Amino acid sequence: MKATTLELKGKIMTRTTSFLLLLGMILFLAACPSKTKVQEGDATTLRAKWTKEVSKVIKDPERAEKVIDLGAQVETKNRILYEEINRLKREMRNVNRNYDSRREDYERALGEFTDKKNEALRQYLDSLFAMRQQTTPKEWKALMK
Amino acid sequence: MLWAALFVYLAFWLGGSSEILFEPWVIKESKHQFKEVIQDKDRSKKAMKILDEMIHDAKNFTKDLLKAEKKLEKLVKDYRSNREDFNQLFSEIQGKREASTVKVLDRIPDLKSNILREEWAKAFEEGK
Repeated sequence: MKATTLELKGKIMTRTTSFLLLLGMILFLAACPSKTKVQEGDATTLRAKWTKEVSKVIKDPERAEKVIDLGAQVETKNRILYEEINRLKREMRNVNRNYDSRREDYERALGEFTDKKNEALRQYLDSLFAMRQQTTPKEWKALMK
Repeated sequence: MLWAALFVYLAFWLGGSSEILFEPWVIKESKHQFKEVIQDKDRSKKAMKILDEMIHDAKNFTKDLLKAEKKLEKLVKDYRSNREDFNQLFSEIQGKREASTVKVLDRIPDLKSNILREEWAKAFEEGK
């Protein structure tokens, strides 16, 4: 993910991409990868830290294991959806590149993105509530620090 | 740790990547590109004006997004928050996103009316 973010930033530096960004990115408001704390970390390291953190807070091994698994699932889902978003980004660029693109073309590409984004939000909420269900208010508070 | 992971993913899908979109250098580069491509001064001036309006709208949306992210942070941390609370926030920001998108889409024909087909094509060719 880090490499992809850097690659994107490099591309942004090019003239055409900045031009594309202007139209495409204003429209495609959330399609670019942002450099997040999670993305900065190596997946394995992240998982190890995650496991350590959860195990420290949730003393019940069974519940801790469930939260750890759910966390890993969030990461996997994100990677799958991230690929899909990249495809939609390319589609949006093509719409921008075409001088004859109509409003409907932009709306179709944006609609696809919105659907994908809503799907992602639903999935993350599912994971969040599933994790919270495995914790007590005190544990949740500790995990959220 | 858990908090950070959950929040950054949710914020990402909410639309929290705008820091990449609206960094001053992105805007400068884009405007520079327009200026290079459009040869006619009058058309260039008009295109710049439209561009400024688009950026202004996009920046306003970014402000709304930042506010929404703060609300999202509270909801994620709050053990009592429910799905409805999240959905309400998502709907709110989606409504603002759609309004912002409509404004941008409305301006595209005006923008293109000030950029000739060959200039448009040239702009894309230059970066190959």
